[in-house]
This record gives sequence, C-alpha cells and structure tokens, in this order.
Amino acid sequence: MIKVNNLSFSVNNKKLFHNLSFAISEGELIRISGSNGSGKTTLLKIMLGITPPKKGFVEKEFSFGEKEFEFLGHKNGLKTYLSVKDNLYLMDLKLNDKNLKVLNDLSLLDLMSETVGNLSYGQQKKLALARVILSKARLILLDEPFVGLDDDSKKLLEKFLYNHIKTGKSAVITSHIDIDLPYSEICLDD
Amino acid sequence: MIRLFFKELFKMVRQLRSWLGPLSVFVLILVAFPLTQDIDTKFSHQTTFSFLWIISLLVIMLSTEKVFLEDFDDGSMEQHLLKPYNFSDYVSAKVTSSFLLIGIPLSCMSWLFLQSAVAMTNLNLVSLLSFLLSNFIFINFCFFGNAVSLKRGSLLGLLIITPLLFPVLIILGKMLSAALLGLDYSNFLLLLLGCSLISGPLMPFVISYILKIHLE
Amino acid sequence: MLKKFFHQFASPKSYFRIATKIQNPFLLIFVLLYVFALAWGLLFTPEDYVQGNSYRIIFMHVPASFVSQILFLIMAFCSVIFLVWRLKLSIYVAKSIAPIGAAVTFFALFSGSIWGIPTWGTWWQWDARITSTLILLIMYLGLISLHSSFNNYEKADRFFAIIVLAGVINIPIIKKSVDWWSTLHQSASITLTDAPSIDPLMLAPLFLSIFSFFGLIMGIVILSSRYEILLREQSKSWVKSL
Repeated sequence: MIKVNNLSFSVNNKKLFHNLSFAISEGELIRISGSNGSGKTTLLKIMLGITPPKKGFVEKEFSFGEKEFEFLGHKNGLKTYLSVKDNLYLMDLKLNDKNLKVLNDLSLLDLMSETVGNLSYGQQKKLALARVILSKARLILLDEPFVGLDDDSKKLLEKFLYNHIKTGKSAVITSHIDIDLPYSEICLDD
Repeated sequence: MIRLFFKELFKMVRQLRSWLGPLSVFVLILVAFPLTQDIDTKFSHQTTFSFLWIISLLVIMLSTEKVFLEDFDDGSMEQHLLKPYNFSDYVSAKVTSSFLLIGIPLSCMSWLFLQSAVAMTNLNLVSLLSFLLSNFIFINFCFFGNAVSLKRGSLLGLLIITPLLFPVLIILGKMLSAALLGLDYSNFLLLLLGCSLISGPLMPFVISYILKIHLE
Repeated sequence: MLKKFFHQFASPKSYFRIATKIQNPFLLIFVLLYVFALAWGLLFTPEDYVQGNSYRIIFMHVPASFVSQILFLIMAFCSVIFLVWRLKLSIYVAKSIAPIGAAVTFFALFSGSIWGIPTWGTWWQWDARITSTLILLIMYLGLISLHSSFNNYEKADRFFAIIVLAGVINIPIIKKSVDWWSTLHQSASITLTDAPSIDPLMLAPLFLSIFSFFGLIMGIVILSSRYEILLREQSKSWVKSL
C-alpha cells in the first residue's frame, strides 16, 4: 500500500539516510529503529508527505475515498486550555457507545470535564491515542507511542495494533521500547 | 470549511486572552487618551483618525502574536496538514474568526469613539468602511508576519510586514484628507477595497505555503 | 536538453570560475568610470539656476536611489528563478545582494538628507518618496535578519524568496508615489515618456554616473556572491580543492 523508493535526506549537508527502499503491504507492522537523530521522525514525515525527500519518492496506493493516514507524533495535538470533552469535539469524535467504550478502557471517561492541561503526561497521551484507536485510517504512523503509558495502556495499544493489522490494515511505529507483536524492522543506523 | 471555521471560532472564544485581552487594552487606551488632553480640547479629525488606525494596528499585532505558534507547538497544525481539506482553509478559518472577534469589535468601538470625539457630518460611512477594511488588511498582514517569524519572535514578523502596512496607512490618510475637503475619496476607497479583496483570498495560500515550509 | 545545459551553466561552480576571472577588471573599469563621472559632474557642469552648486550631490544621490531599487528588482528576478526552477545559484546571488542594497539605500537617504538642507531647509521630510525609500531600507534590513535567523539554510532561502516577492510591490509604489501625492519632493525629472526637464549638460554626466555606479555595484555583487557560494558550498569537493 505504500512503497518507498531510494529515499535520501540530508539536513544542512549532513546525511540522515541514503537510498532507502522498502514497502509496506496490507496487514504489516513496521518498526523503525535507530539511535537519536538517525532520522526516524523525518522518515515518518516523508512518508506522510509533510517533508519532501531530497532524492527518491514515495508511492502510495489507497482506494478512492478511504482515509489514508492517521499520525501521532511527539506532540499530541491537544489543546491544553480546553477540556477532554472539547478536545474530542475538535477531533470529530462523537460520544457514541463505541467511542465511549474505548474511552472507558483508556480510563478517560471520568476525566471528561477536566482541563487537558491538568492531566498527567500519560493521560494526555492516552487522549491523543483515542483519536488513533477510533480512526478508520488504513495506515497508522506512530512516533514513540509507548512513551509515558502505564502497563495497562501499553497492553491496550498493543491489542489495538494487533487487531488493526489483523483486519488487513497497516502500521508503522518508531519505538525504543520492545513490543510484543510480530513486526518487520527497519534500522536507520547503517 | 464551515465546520472548520466553527471549530476555530470555538477555540478562540474559549481562549479569552486571545481576543478579550486586546479588546480591553483598546478600550483602556480609548478612555485614557482624552484624559491626557485638556478638557476643552477639540480633537482634529486627522489626528483622531490616525490615532485610531494606529492603535487598532497595534492591538491587532498584540492579539495575533502567537496565533500560529500555539498550534505549531502542540502539534495540531501537523494534524490539520494531514486532513483531507486544504491547508489554506485552516488559515482562512483562523483569519475569519480573528476578524469576527477582533476586527469587527475594534471597528465598531473606533466608530463609537469618533461620535464622541469629533464632528461626524458626512464621515460616518467613510470612517466605518475605513476601519473595517483596514482592520481586515491588518489582520491578514499580521498573520503573514507571524507565519514567517513563527519561532523567531514577533519582532522579525513586524520588520517584514511594516513595509507592506505603510502604503495602506498612506491610503487611509489620503482618503480621510479627501473626505474632509469634500473631494471624491472613492478612488482611495476602491484601492483599500481592492487590497482587502486581494489579500483576503490570496494571503491564506501564501501563509499556508509558509507554514508548510516550517513544518518540513 | 536545454534544461541540462542551463543547469550546468548556471551551477555555482561554473559561475564562481567565471566570476573570479571577471571580477577585478570589472570593478576596475567601473570605479574609474564612476570617478570620471563624478569629476565631470562635480567640477565641469554649470551651476543650477535655482539651487546653485548644492545640486551637484545629484550625481551621487540619484545613482544610489536608482540602483537601490534596481537591486531589489534583481533580487525579485532571482527569487522567481529560485522558486520556479530551484536554481541554487539564483538565491545565493539574491542573498548576497541584500546587504549591498541596504548600504546603497542608506547612502541614498543620507545623500538626500544632505541635499535637503540647502534646498528645503530641512534634512528630513515625511513625504511619500523619502518614506518609501525608508521603507525599502527597512525591507532590506528585514531580509538580512530573516535569513540570518534560520539555522536551516534551505528553509531560509525559500522564505527569503517569498518575502522579496511580497516586497517587490513596494517598488512601483515608490515610482508612482511622486505622481499620486504632490509633495515637497522634486517630481521625477527623467521619465520614460516625457522629455527630461534638466539641462543636457547636466544630463550626460548624470546618466554616466548612474551607469557607472550600477556597474560598480554589480561588481561588488559579484564579489559578495562569490563569498556566498564559498560559504554555502563549503562541503562540496570543488570548494575543498580551491
């Protein structure tokens, strides 16, 4: 569904990666690993089309009308001066039964009227993950998603990712923490 | 697009300091200004109008100072870039909600102040139009300046947009001079209208292009 | 094929080679020409009927204000080339023009102020022409500070190009301002369509001083752009081999 061809990228004449090629097919989970500054986040942004590569190109194949990407980066995309409920409104997440169940699993149901700025880092991360979990995107890209999560939430995210790829969708994650799922690895430290 | 506008408006309304604060500062200045003058002073038209235009410009600069930085810092700008609608729609929604919550109240308050300060025969229409159009243009240019100087402080943005603002101020001054002398000011008004009609649709595209470069 | 030829010809490396060869003779010729033009204008032209000898600063002020605007247009042209064809050389040249343009504009304002004292009795007047030139100076300063505030040169280049294009609307406003608003400033003596209103004896050295000053500044631009290329391409092998 997405093919990366001979990607090269450099910043201020410093090379991050060179001639990188790989493909992500349906039902696949890719883990991008590498040391700090190796270009993991940059690679995700190139795949999303936010950053143009210096050389090479990205081929995307999605059916017409389906949602392509869902992305969660280092920043959560939440408004800290608004409540959890208001943030859900901004994320276009309705408070129907299905969504409420997921919010309950993430222990966010009791915090609906709480200002996001008053939540802990982990709680904010879970709220941002709610958008990903409830998304219908075929390809999910997550940048260090497990950072800040407690064990229960980590297991919940792993379970979601497992179900996600089982239904034929794909995911790309960058993670320092080991995950208990079958994945293909791309290491950027070469 | 409409939904996006309502979301931006919702965010802005909830963040009182982004609009209520600058409007309060404006009211404070309007109240303080006559206090610095002698009680019998008759304000000149040109000076009062200039004062109002400049103060409106400063208040707009103040209110739009971190308009994009907040979204950039918390990652919501990236999310807007990945949505199916045009990124420029996001910018337009922000500009429109700013104009609604700041531009229009500033124009109305300026016009009200004028009623109390100077004789307004034949000047009501030209004054209201000048405030509405100039505030709209100022908002567009201030957004542009803030987009360029996103993480580098507002001084750089100010330096960039100052040369663009001065011609607008010159046109405003000349329009008022013509109106005060009873001459035809419609060509200046048309210039102002043209400027706002060009900057209105065009600026969101330019600003979105600049923001995309920042996000790379 | 044309694109390939263009890219090869307009590469920083070949421009640097050519510029290094022509720089010194170019500068020498135009310095001499400018000195000659100044000498002609300052010493061998008749006195002005109204202003006496104080008009002679025209031979420094007019070239400076003319060149300050032309430089901005050249920057705009380079910016368009950069944004459309991504030619790095064009933005190197544009970026090297900015400080030179700022200096020339400052000199135009400074010489204009000196001219204003005997002519108008004041060294500054808030008229449209002077204000527009001041705005041009602010634009140049803004562009210099814009580029220097970015760590990522590629992003800085693109912003620079966009701001130059946004500011280029200022140039026709300067040109037209003297016609739109009647003010203290002398109306443009040399227009494209009408016969000039100054004496031909003064016109010839004026044209020569404008031409030679322009050439001199372009020589300085060549010098500055060479340094810019060395700075930006320092990691390339051809620079390291110099």
